[in-house]
Amino acid sequence: MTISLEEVENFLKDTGGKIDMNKKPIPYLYLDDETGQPMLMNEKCTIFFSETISILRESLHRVIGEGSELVLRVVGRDMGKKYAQLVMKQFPELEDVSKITQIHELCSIILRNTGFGKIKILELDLKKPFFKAVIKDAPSCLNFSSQPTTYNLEAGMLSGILGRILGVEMAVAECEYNKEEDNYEVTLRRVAE
Amino acid sequence: MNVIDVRGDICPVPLLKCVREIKKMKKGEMLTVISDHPPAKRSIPIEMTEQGHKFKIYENGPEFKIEIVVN
Repeated sequence: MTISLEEVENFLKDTGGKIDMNKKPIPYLYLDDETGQPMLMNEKCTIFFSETISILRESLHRVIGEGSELVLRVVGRDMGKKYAQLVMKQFPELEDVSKITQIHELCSIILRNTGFGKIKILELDLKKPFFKAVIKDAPSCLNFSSQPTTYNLEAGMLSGILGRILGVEMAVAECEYNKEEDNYEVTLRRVAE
Repeated sequence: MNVIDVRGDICPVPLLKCVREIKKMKKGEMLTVISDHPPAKRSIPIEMTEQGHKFKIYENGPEFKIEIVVN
């Protein structure tokens, strides 16, 4: 399936910056529900955004060493906040649903649509200062061979998304790779005010 | 009978259409949501639980329907 530039421009012009939910969305980058395969415009995708992140990680590590992972957490947090703002701007009705649902929706939408993987939330209680989730089908680590697998950028993204929704600063407390299941367990903690 | 068919819609549209419809309804009324987007099978129940409504999910191959009773 191909979409002309004119069709995209018309779509954007028609929406006026907001998504009309009665119209079919333009197909975009996402992970196939069954296979986890990245898809773009309904076709299998071989080069995707997360590939760029792998290269960025490697370059950063080469320049500043171990501190690069901390930098990636900060970059990820800012990305997560920005993506959350963009989704909320496109779908203002999301402000009307509960914070719990907002967290589930935004984390899932943003990770899937940027090609970072699927999220399963393990612990989410707004009264507690921490949040725990597992991220799977994450393609960003696949071609990153020279450094041990980490997931700090994506964990940072989650902290940014939660920070935007809850209006508090969230920090990455732990980010562990589970080699057997090929997934990542991320723990975020509310920063003391 | 209130039915919304959100087949072909992806997140967060199924959830938002469901919430929009529920707002128009009265206590005791039922809404049926038909979808084929797996993440909606999770997001809609989460929000319905948060809002205190009762629901049941019926699977039918790749499609499913959620029956919600407004509380």
